[in-house]
Amino acid sequence: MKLTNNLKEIRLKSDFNQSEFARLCGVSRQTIHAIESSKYTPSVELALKIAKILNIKVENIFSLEESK
Amino acid sequence: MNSQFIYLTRKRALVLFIILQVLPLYFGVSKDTLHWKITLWLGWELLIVGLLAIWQPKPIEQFDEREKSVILKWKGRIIDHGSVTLLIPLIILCLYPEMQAWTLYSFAAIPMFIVYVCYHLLMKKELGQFFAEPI
Repeated sequence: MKLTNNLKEIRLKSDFNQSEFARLCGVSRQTIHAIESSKYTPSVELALKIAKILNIKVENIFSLEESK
Repeated sequence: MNSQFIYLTRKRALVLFIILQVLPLYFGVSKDTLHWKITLWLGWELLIVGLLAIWQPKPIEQFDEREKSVILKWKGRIIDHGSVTLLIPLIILCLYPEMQAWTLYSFAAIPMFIVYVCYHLLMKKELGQFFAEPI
């Protein structure tokens, strides 16, 4: 099982740039980039915070994908 | 209380690097042999690079969860692999007690310096931040 996300699309739809979004989440811009490129899996706390800022359910951002 | 942390921005790093070039000027005018002058100069430049490499971009409490996990991983590796660089000379000392201190020091200090600098650079690469953001 692999964790995937469509954070980048949702963030862009909400008209946030990476720096602004990172500041709202209280993390660095590099961390947002790492999450978007699936290099880093955020903690439950950060995932919920992201969902709250984007005003969307967490499962609509993050999903588990069956690995081949 | 205000933080006493000195943020190493690109500009500050450049200024520091230029200021630290004053000492090599002294090596140039000293009465040492050319070979020794070059050795001292190279050693000094390596020390500056090392100093700038191990300078963390911000205080630990300002790192977020990902950055803290990256730091923890690399610091763990530094302790693991750095301690080996102490163990090797100790084993050598057990086998050859007549070993000179300078030789032994080279066995420990040079690999430890390489571990420290390289691992810090790799850590900063993973952090995605070599210098502090401009203040």
